[in-house]
Amino acid sequence: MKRIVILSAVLIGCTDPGFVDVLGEAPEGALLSVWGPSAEDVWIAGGQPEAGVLFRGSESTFETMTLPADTPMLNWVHGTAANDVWVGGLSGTMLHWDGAGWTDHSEPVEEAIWGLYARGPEDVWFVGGESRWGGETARVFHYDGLSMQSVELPTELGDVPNMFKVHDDSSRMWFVGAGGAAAFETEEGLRPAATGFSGDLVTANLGTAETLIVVGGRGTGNVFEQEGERLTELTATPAGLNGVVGLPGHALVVGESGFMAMVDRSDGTVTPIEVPVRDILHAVWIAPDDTVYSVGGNLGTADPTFHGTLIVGPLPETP
Amino acid sequence: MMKTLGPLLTAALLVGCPGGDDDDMALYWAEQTGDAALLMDASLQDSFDRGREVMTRDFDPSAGLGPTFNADSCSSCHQAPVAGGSGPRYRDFWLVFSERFDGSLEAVGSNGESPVRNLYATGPSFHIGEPEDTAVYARRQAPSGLGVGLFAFVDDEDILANADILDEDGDGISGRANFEERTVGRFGFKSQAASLESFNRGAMFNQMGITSDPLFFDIPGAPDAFARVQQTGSTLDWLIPSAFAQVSALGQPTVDEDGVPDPEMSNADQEDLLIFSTYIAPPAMTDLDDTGRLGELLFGSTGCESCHLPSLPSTVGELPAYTDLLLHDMGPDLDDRVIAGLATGTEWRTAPLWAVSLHGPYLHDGRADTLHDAITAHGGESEASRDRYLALPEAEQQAIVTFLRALGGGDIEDQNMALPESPLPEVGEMGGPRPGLSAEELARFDAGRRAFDRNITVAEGLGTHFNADSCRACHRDPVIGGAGGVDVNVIRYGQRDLDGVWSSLDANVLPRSVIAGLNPGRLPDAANVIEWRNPPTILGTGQVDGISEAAILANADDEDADGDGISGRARILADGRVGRYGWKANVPSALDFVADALLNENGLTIDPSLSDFTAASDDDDVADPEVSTAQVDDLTFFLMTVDQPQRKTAEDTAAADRGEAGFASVGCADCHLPELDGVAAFSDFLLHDVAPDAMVLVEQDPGVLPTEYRTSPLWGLSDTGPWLHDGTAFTLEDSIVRGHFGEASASRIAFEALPEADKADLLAYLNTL
Repeated sequence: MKRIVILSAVLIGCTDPGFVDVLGEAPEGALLSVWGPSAEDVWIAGGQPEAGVLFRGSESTFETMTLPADTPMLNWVHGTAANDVWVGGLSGTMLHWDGAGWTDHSEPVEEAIWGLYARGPEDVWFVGGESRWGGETARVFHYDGLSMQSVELPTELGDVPNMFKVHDDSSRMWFVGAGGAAAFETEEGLRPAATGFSGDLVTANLGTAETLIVVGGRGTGNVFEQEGERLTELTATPAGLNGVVGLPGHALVVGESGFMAMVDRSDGTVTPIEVPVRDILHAVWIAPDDTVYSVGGNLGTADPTFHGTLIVGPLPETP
Repeated sequence: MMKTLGPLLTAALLVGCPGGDDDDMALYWAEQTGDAALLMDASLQDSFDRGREVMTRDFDPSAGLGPTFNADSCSSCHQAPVAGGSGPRYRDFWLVFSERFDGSLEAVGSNGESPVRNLYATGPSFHIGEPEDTAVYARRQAPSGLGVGLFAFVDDEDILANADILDEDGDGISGRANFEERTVGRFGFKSQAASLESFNRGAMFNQMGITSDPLFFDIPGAPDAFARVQQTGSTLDWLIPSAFAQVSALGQPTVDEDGVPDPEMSNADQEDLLIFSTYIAPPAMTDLDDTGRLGELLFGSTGCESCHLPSLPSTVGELPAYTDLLLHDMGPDLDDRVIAGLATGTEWRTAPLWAVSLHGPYLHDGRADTLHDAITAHGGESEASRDRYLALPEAEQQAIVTFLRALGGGDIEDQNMALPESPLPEVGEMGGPRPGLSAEELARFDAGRRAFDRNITVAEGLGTHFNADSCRACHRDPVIGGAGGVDVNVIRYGQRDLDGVWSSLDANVLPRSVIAGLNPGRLPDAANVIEWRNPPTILGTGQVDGISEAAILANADDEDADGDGISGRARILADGRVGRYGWKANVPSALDFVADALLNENGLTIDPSLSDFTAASDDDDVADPEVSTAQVDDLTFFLMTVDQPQRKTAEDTAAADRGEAGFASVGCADCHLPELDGVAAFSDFLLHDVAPDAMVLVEQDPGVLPTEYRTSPLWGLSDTGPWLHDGTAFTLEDSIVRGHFGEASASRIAFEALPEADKADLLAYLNTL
């Protein structure tokens, strides 16, 4: 096991890029994903377990989109354009927005859809698995423009309860999940990727970097880089990580207890960034105009109702 | 009685204590071992006391125990020398992992979410074994909780100040912090937990299957730090802000599927437990003699102090805990491959040394019987210090050990549960001696009781496989010599094929533990019959020994000649003696009972000329016999002289009197004879076919039906639950309804037909026994 060094400086080397708490504790529910086709059109997904919510807007102005009746909590949003947006949520929920209305592509499963990635209108991947609200095994689906197909995970991964995210490395799709499970797409199906890691891998992202970066961990965080057909640990953080955006030479990560940091991919140095919230941050996204959006809330706590968090600020300068 | 340090004495003890500047020393200690630190605000005493009750509370399945578990109470593991302390070797547990294609480890623990291997399962399965391909068994000792909670008051910065991640000072010692959700970790063998609350909740779930909700607190500096406390109705508004950092883990609720609504522990109970575990204190350090002072100097000069810092600053004063709470690489011999937060397999938190001598065996896996062994096992960053220690003359090594024993509790260091100065129970008190013993006999009783209570070391012959490392381990409820909880049940197993033909598999018993270096036994995949055996009370054994064989035989009615539906037969052993001990009446005398238990529960041999129930040799490296005849005599004398449980006075004597009549009228007294040969054990000591046909049972002995059991003595009944041979009845009514079939069917049916008030009367009577 590679020994990761966190310099004590990481705890005091904070910067203040001016993040703003936009929503306070949004009563609509926990917020789990943020993405947009443009800087002016940002989509945020989340909700309460029984009632999903989708915000659309930019910076500090957002409107609530109308969702099909009985749409449960939404966990991820991604698309290719303003008229080609997908959301996934609890109980196999998979919805497509064509610019005018919703089409329901949900699968009749108890498992949650935790992540999705739209490579094109006819090439969309969904992943998910168990949640507090049902299900017991990892799920992978692929939509080819006509139908939704279930995809088998490699047997080498064993009984994986969850795959959390899916992301394109510009040549093939990668899948990451519980217990260090990772796989990538080949013409013969999915193949396992070695990680040497037993913790949860929560999110993968390419961003503007050259290779994929993956984060995870509970309590403490772990940052991995794609090296060919495996993931190699780059560094660790003092809080578990849920969200990441790849940048040239760096990565912006977010996680538990309002943790946000810039990771230097050359040496693994972690530089925390002070933000005005202490909720769990689930996702981070950088708009084309370099505005950073990060969302979170109190999902995963014993609170009977969830609230959401949105912070917005400029892209921090890399140290 | 526990050791008490009076105010004047304690003031004196602080003069010249180890740990440096006394003026800055917090009142970290308590006047009695197991009490709250003197620094605790008096307003918290009630909560602390309630927390001790939560710590010692026995959970049963109706309260949420399971679906899998290792312990039925917190104090099952944290028992020595007081509730909240550490666990003897028999309470060690394992983290289990299989290895995946890329070398990473996959947790394969019993509850499906953690790596903790649970020995027991509620419901019909009784035990859920780890997979056959389990590759890693990482052993863990139940660590002491004395003083540990005070680490909550250490600021992150004061821990980080000692980190030297890149070993910039070139002393060969680095040290780095672990974290949990941005807070510096400090609890657990790998400092993996920053919050005592989350540490408690994790243990409750992993070891007992008790679910809980996280307590809501924000970390220092966060806005509205108290707001959420008020929202959740918490009573913890007294906590000083620095403590909030340690109860801030925003963990998820734990949930399970045992049919009991989650959370199974209320927030109020959890808060009290948190107070108890935060403030339970280590014993005060004792004054150093010349040897101790030499040891203190050598402790510094050998480099031990580099990691075992004499004190840590905290918001409640200096804590002389002899730890830096940092992770250190301890070398390959201590590598268990388990990653916890940032800690790798070789990295371990510097163990706190205050009261260390109270908590052997030592190291995370209890591999070291002695402090010397523990020091010798140090490697990695501590290798140089260890080598300097080993290079010392033996007397100077011993001086260091003397110094360590002075760090609190050395004066009560013992291998016994009963503290050294604790008095014997009085005559008439539960666990006390029979009346009329001479002073010499009382001394023998005391010696035997201490032998019964004493933890046995590996060097003395424990193991290799064992269920307990003392007799008391399984016989301590509610006193030394009592019964055992469900969490010390023996697991028996075997195989029955489709035709019902029974096959033994190996030893038929899954030992709960093994000596260091071995992996615990694994149930063969072919085992399809699993059964528990609960340790019964041994109080009154001497009286049972005194019952004549003729008296037992007089009640036997093998062929049911009197046609009452109850037969009952005496267990005639191969040598012609009548068996009377054990669930199958397979043991004829107290001496044989001692021999049988030492061999099968402890892995200890005695002189085979004393009993047929021992073995000439066993599979460890210790010369046989491992227990001297004098020790056997002491143990046997204790069993022969410990008095029977005393009858209790019912709250409603009229109801109990009516219940006594009902006990006779429904037929209970036909087998549970109120008196036999002058002994009021409520047993005929005969075998009866009473188990339900549907109960799939282990065939233990040739010539005894699986459904046959000795009539269980009922004395002390109310204090010896859970009941039935397998300890699966957690109420007396349940034990009657579920455990009495076959010959006992008529009585059970008669009981079930009673009006509820009459049932209550009968149960009230049973509670007086």
